[in-house]
Amino acid sequence: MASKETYLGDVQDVNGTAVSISLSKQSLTGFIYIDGQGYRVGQIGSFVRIPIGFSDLFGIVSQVGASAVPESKNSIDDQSSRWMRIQLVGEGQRNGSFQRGLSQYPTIGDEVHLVSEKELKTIYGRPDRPYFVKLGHISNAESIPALIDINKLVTRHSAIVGTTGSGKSTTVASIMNALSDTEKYPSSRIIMLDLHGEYGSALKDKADIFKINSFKSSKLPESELRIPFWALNFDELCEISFGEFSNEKEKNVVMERVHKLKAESIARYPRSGASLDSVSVDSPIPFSIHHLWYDLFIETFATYYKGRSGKPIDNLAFELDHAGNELRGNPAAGIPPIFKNIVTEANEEKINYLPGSLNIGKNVLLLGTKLRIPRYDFIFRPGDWTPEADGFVVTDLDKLLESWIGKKSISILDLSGVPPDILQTTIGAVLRILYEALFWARNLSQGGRHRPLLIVMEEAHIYLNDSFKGMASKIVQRIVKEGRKYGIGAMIVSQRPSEIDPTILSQCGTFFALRLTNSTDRAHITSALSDNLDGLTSMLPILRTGEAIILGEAVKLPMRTSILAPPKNRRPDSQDPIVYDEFPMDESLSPGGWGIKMEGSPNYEELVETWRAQNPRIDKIKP
Amino acid sequence: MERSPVSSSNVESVGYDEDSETLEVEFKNGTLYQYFDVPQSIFNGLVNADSVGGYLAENIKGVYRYSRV
Repeated sequence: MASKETYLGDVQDVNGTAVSISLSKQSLTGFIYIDGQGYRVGQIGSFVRIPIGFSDLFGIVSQVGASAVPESKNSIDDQSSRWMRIQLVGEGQRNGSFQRGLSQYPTIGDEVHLVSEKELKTIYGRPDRPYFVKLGHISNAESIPALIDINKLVTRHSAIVGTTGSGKSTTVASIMNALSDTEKYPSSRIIMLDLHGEYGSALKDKADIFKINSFKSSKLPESELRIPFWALNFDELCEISFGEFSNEKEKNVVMERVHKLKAESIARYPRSGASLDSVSVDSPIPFSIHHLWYDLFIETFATYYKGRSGKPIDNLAFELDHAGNELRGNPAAGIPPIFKNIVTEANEEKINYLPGSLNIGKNVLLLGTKLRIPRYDFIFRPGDWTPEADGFVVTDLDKLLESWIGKKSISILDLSGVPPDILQTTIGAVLRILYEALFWARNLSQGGRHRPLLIVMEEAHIYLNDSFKGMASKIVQRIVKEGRKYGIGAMIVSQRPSEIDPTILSQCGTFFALRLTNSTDRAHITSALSDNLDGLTSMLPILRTGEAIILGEAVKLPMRTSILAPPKNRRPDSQDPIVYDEFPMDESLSPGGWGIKMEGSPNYEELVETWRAQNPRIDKIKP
Repeated sequence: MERSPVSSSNVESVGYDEDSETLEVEFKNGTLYQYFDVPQSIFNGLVNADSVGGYLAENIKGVYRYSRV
């Protein structure tokens, strides 16, 4: 009889969802054969079944041995080490259906059985349902596919955590490969924030790649990543352009100006959806920030000829160059005008500061610098989205959004060229644009509710660790809290979960926990999990590379999974620098390392060139 | 830069720009490098070598400076 073979022991103690079991003498061997297959008894993380009437309760083994003895058991004869503690996780009906949660508890004396592979299969879901994707197989049970429910995975958010080298990027690539299967999911829509440029080669034929300073000759077709500043709301615009204002009054002056420029722009170039009455300072309407800056510069620093007739602003005292031309500067190039110093001597023409000049010198100078530095061009001079003085733009935001989320299944935003000081802001800006667009378009066929978007955030600890001061963490918080309703899902990937704000992590419905050795990180994950599963999380430090514990909403039961790695040429390019190549030199795929002699005339000028230009590509490189 | 495929265990394709003396090498794993100030004769030697990988290791690696592109 099958039940005889699988019999493990009896329930001795029930404490909430923790159940202590004394193992029977019959299972002494520690090895049980069912249908010709051997099972080891008492493996941490394995499942047990407790039949109760017409249903079965299922639990996960969390502790085995002497310390699993219930605390109240102190008599000598019970001090054997043949004890096991399990955590109850769900209930199965006789017809094979399985659900999380319990309607009843086991009681003392109930039999406990091992769960065979056949039974596991019914628990772990059905591969024939198209909304399940297969990521690999259950560890120790190769015949059972590890299936995740994409309905829950996408909109209920997820987190992938694991130490460096635990297989995080490969797991992400696996999931992306599965989700971008165009036959199964012809309309899937994924945006990846790729901080190190790892995924381009892994997903090259399935993804559009956007990059700052894209390289034409590169094997991968890359488009230039552009983020128009005028799509941001006023607060965010200030953050990337003017910086902090020293008081409200000055901020209001600038706000007033931006509003005026946007209103003028919409009056000249009407855009459907925006009217003169409804346009606000936050509306995504193009205006020239270069001219705004130029005007503010004049009003802050200008001097004028006091004695002349007319308004002061018409009598500005520009400095002259050698040829006698006024140094009026150039708004579009970010070159400021130069003014004469004030003159108060009695017998000369008097020059004075403009009456009521603004007191935002610091902010104006800061923005001026940003308008001149090429590395900010992707945001202040975003190609065809750069507004002219009167607000004219060659292309509107529709083309931007279409290129990001309207073409191939996956869009990779390669952020490896973004300067670190504005990385956080850049990510915030991208996410803001996407969120606003999908949020308002929620009733349309291309909106978030009808074609949900999954946003994969790599290395999330870099930009989500500032307790919601930065743009990125603010918008991510909004996405994880409200995105579910509007079809915007987040997948947060990090090697340092303890640095991610707990509010964000606790909103993630599904966790892919790979090997995690640091105890702080582990504690952070354990506390973020809704399931009461200390037994499983205690396995985190000993998982093999490429092995993950998946738990949460997208899986029926927590499962220890061996993730199927994508083929060799489709793996993410996250290799560490090679110190000494394992291959001999004539087979090596790497031109450097400590094992190769150094070139005769090393060129450190080029090294400095890259630093000064803030661009890893030197001019000498041929397109 | 135009590259032409070569038969080798580690190199996928090579290209050369005469004006700037730049040699472009694509390895089998898809990574692309440009070696600078490489004379034409070395490039000719590379494409005609019996073993491209061997020639690269012998005459180019550790001799010319490069950049990943």
